[in-house]
Parts: sequence; structure tokens; C-alpha cells
Amino acid sequence: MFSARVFSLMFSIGYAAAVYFKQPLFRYYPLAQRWSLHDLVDSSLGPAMSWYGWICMAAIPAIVLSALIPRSWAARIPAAVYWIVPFIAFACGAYNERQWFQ
Amino acid sequence: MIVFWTILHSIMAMALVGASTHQGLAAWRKPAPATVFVDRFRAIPAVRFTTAIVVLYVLTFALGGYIYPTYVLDVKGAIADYGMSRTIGIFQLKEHLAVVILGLLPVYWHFWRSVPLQTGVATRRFLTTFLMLGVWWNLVVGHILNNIKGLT
Repeated sequence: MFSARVFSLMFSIGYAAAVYFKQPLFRYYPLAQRWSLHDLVDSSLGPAMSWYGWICMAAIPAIVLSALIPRSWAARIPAAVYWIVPFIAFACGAYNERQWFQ
Repeated sequence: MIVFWTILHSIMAMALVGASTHQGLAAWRKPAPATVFVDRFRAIPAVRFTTAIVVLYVLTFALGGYIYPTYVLDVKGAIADYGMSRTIGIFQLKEHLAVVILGLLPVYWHFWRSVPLQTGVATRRFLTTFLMLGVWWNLVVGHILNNIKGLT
């Protein structure tokens, strides 16, 4: 029932989109040890971590679609896609971090 | 306790580098007698490393995720105070690369364990090499960052 091909593809695309559009499912505030579905604009809470939220944002649609899409369909995905998508996902992450290199 | 988890994270990452390098180089080797050391290093049944690599990767990733908040609080701020913003940026790239590889693990496992080894050779080589280079990058970056300012 689970298609590894679809999962990897959708996870990479989902992660790229979540990072590029800055849409984590939730944020974690390690100083306050607090989770939030929204960006809490409060400097007393310390830095916010979006990383866990991005991973979940990518994983949920990937799990659902990999369970729904038949393996026979997934087998038709060109292999070249698996070469390109990881680089796109990484590029989105790198673009998100550009402020550190300016 | 965070030091213990950090050291364990490093040890597992080193084991992962060893396994992924073995497999990565073996994936590119053409069948031939292994006479010199480099050939013997690569002349291993690469498929046997797959499950170990997946398990090691997931465990190393989970440990990294566990110690990550401490890094954000104790290390990232200190490095920013040092004015080493590029160092932070390079570590941030490690974080993204780690997730990208995590997402590739199912298809990587699929190409080694479900697809016949005679087919999909180029994609298998690409996925294995990408994983190997990514693991190396993450280990080196993590090690250097720990030298600059370790978790305490």
C-alpha cells in the first residue's frame, strides 16, 4: 500500500514548498519549551524553531499520497525526477538561509 | 547529559559515514578481481549495507533533532555574537540537507531492496552517492561547529 517513490517525491516537494513559503505546521520555542501553531511575536519567548514544523508539513501529505497513489502509477514516474527534486528542495533551503551569507 | 547525546550523535554519524562510503564506492565499482586495497574496500556486497544505513541515518537524525534546541539556545547565539554568521548559515544548510536525505531514504531503500539490481543502476548510484556526500558534509560541518563552540 505504501509507495516509497511517491513518499520521497512528495516529501521533497512538500519540504521545499514549506521552507520557501515559510509555512511550518508549528513552531517550537526552546527557551520557553513551548509549541505553537502560530508565530508568537514575543521576544521574551526566545528564538522560534520552524524545523520540526517544516518536516511535519512535508511528511503529512507525503504519507497520505504515498498510501493513496497506486504503486503501478508511481512506477511510471521518470527516474530523472529523483535526481532533480532533492536539489530543488535543498536549493529552497539554501535560499531561505541567504541572510547568513550577505 | 547533552554532552553524552552529542557524543553518541557523533559516533553514530561516523558509523554512518563508514557504511555509506563503503556502499557509495561499491555502487560505482565494475565487477573485477580485487587486488589492491581500494578495490578490496569497494568489493563488498553493497546491498547488505542498505538497512543498516537507513537505521543508522534515522537514529542519527533523531538524536540530532533531540539536541537541536540546545544548539539553538547555547551555540547559535554565541556564534552570532562572535560575528560568524556564515558559520551559522553553513550549519543551517546541514539542517536542510539532513531533511532532504531523510525524505530520500524510502526511495533509496526501494531502489536497493525492491528494484532488481540489474535495472535502475544510474538512479541507485545517484541516490547512494548523494546520501554518501550529504552524510560526509553533515559530519564535517557538525564536527567543525562543535570545535568552534560545543554543547555543554
